[in-house]
Amino acid sequence: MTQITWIFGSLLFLFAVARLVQRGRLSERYAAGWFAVGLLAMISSIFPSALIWLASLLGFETPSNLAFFFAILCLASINLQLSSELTEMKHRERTIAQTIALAQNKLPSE
Amino acid sequence: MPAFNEEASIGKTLAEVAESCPGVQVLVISDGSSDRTSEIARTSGVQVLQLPVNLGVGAALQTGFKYAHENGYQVAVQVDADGQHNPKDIPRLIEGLSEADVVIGSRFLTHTAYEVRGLRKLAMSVLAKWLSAIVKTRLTDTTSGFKAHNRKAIELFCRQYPAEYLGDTLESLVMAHRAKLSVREVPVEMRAREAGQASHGSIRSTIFLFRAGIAILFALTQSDSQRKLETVS
Repeated sequence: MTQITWIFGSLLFLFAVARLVQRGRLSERYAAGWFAVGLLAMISSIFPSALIWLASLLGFETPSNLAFFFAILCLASINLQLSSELTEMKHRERTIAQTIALAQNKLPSE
Repeated sequence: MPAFNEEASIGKTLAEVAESCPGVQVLVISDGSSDRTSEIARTSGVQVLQLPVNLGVGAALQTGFKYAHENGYQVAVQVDADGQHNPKDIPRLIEGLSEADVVIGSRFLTHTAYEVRGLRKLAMSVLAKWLSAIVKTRLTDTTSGFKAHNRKAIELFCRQYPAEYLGDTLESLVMAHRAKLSVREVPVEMRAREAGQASHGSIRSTIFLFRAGIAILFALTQSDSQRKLETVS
């Protein structure tokens, strides 16, 4: 039962990512990463044995710990990447706003 | 003169500057103000740059440095719009530029109306000691927003200026020092704020010191190659 829930959940997730890409609301750059996350979730829910095997290989006591570990790692790195891009965006926003203000001043006033 | 929603005080401040420093060209940078700041400044006959969105003091100041650079100014003085700086001190700041590239108007070098108490005072003196050690000059008032800059400093700051919290004060001083500019202080008179209140609470002071510490560490660690990159972009 739980397995079906997991498979269904990861399918729904992949579908959501696909919809966003289709509507142009998610650029390729990010879509690739999210697709990888969704696919990994799906593979491990269809073949739990793969997850169990990898967990014991890496020395995790329970397979779910490995899943959580990967999930946290994924979320943390995506967050870090977003913060970094936000910083760059703010920098660009600043430059653009300053350029507008300086350019506006050169225009003859109405 | 950076200004964010200062319609209550900017008219008076501009009139004072015009009275005590005739012939000085004034530029008001309205940092995305939604009130009548720009309008009042324009009526006073000074140049106004209106930023389309609120970017923060650091970015507003940088806009001023860019303007000064584009228009070939040799000296740029930064004054608060809220009237806490006495424009009569501007000539003294400019005189200081004969010995340094950046001159800070210090509120603590003389006995003035400006007083800080308790933990805030402690936090500010810790910062002053730390920054003095970094910049290798005795500084007493590292968070002063009353400063004069020569052409060398204008050229540096129009290219790169910290936009973070306290970036316009602490970080910019570290940046100036790292770019081999000299910094010094001259005493100025500080008046009570027209509006608004400085925080004196102990929690706030601690947070202030903490954030200031982070700001300084950031300024010290940013690599030169990164700075060059910023210049290009």
